[in-house]
Amino acid sequence: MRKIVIDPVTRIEGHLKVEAIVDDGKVKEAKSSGTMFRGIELILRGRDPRDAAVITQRICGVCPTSHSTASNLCLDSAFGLGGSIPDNGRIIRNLILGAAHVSDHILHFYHLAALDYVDVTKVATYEGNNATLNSVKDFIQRGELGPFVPRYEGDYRLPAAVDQELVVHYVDALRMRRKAQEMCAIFAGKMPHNMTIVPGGVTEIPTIDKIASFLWRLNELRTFIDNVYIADVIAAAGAYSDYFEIGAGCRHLLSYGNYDLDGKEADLTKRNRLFKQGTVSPDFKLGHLDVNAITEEVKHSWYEDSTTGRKPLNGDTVPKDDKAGAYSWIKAPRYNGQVYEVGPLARLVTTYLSGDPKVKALVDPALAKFKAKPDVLFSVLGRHLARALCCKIIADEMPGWLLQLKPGEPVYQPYQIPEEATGMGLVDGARGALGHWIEIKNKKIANYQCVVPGTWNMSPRDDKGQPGPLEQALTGTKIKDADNPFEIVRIIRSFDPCIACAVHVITPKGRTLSEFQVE
Amino acid sequence: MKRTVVLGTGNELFKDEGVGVHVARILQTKLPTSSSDVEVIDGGTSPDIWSLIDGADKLIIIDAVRGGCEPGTIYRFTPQQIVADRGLITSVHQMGILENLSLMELVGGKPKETVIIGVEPKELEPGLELSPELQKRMPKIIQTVLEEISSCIETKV
Repeated sequence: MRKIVIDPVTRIEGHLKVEAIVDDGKVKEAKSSGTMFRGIELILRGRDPRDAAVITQRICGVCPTSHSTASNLCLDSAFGLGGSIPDNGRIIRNLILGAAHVSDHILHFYHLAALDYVDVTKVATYEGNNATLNSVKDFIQRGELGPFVPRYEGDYRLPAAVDQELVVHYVDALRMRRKAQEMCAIFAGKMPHNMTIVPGGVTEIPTIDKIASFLWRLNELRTFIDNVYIADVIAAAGAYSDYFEIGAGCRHLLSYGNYDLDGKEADLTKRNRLFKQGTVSPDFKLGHLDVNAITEEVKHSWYEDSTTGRKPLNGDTVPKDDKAGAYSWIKAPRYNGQVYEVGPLARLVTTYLSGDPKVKALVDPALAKFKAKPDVLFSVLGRHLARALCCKIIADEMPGWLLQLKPGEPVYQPYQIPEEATGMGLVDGARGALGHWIEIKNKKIANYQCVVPGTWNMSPRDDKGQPGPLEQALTGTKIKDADNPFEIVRIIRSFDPCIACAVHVITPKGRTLSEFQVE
Repeated sequence: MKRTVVLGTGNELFKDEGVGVHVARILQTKLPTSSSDVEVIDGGTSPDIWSLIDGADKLIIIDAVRGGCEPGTIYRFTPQQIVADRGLITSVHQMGILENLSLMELVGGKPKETVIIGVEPKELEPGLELSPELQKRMPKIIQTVLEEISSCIETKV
């Protein structure tokens, strides 16, 4: 049998390439490019509208639940169901999305971001009886550094004992994610792709058994989030507090909110949600969400210039791969022509500024711990802290929702597919504002557009030449060692990119200093 | 009773990249639903497949694999035979099969035996359907997996 060198096509959801020009120890310019044309919109044309919810889940292996939610909200609106989702259906949708987001936030911190701050190799010197640490030590000694090695030699600052404790939590976090996946499966059916969210509600009926089964797992997760996850984020932040000053970005935030708290409002921009909808300006002023302010610009993307500046509903996806000045397959979504960051930070700050007392009671003490003003939230650590607090807020809310379920009452609203209609679905996925738009003609999809969180955050320059949020967050960053630019990697990871990413560091003259090709 | 999990992975939005998912769907219709000793999972591109294959005796993974042979070529190998240098991981969207198996070793529940059935892809652009080459090979791919399930095949394919 010959040895096969795999070119892993498994995770082929598109790649992100970040190119940073480093001059005099600083990032002078950064370019973020999506390297693959996805064309999901073209696949959907001419299909039954209901296929959208099934097919768009496949855009992403991590975020199928967010896409399923956005797509079904979009179909609700096109089918005229937006204001008539039964409470059971609305709550079960919230529980499915909530369990998925709890799992996702834990996944991101422990199984990805923590490796930027925790030196797993310190376990090699462990001399004790902890079974987990000995098993990790065994991995390291066999040379199988597996999935959790520091991919990147950074400046690791935590004492060995704290590093080791965090490695134990890394493994505990896996068990917690399993619980969260099981919670999803209780109401979403066979994971990873949920089949139970449908236009008008859900198909899964609530039973006492399911409620108890969900609650039992949720209680364990809440204990973990309170005592381990948030404590670990704060411990890491204490040792790396300079990362409160790194990676600020565009300082404009946009949230679609998520988790509908009642089912009566059809208008997706006026919903009463747990996480609020709106925009945040650099001076922390809250703005109302105006969906008409959203456009997608393509001057620096490989699409026909004639399609630039359109609203998503009228958007078009016409590839043009030989366009001068273009460097990305990602379009540049803008809000009132301005650059906006989306994600947990946007959700948290929008909700905080809208005066939610429970959120204030979480954010204020966290900031007080670091003697910091809210302004520091625009940073690498601010994003991690926001993600952890969002995880806690949703986990704390779910027990109450479970108790509002009413076994025996309806879970969905019946519907008919209209001959012609338009629809919009807005929801914050784990990584931020996710919008689906549909146009139906002759009961078939005439146009479908998705504007995903990664498009906002990783967007290239727009028609005015303004760099995207990640590009702005990287620009100006001091790089201690251009051969080892851990600052860049930490900034990228804080955004929790939707797609795999390769980093290229070059000098102003174009000489490559270092290159980290992923996959 | 021995439990076998058949896991089809990949992204079906990119034609042949989704071959594992197509195989899983076909097998789900072919295998008796009452059978609790064989479970077929359409894993898509989820980073959480490790939590779904907990405690299997045998895991059979079906995926698109580039080995450099003709499109439609079927490979059979074990994780130990793979050279994989995955480099820098920046996104949770990169948690691959091998990471998943390593994670299972840490957290418990790693299958006693894992076999990967790889299929050489032809077309990887947007589209829901497999290339004609792979469509033609589908009966052979299914047969290979069924033989693997019954564990009475040679290692040569």
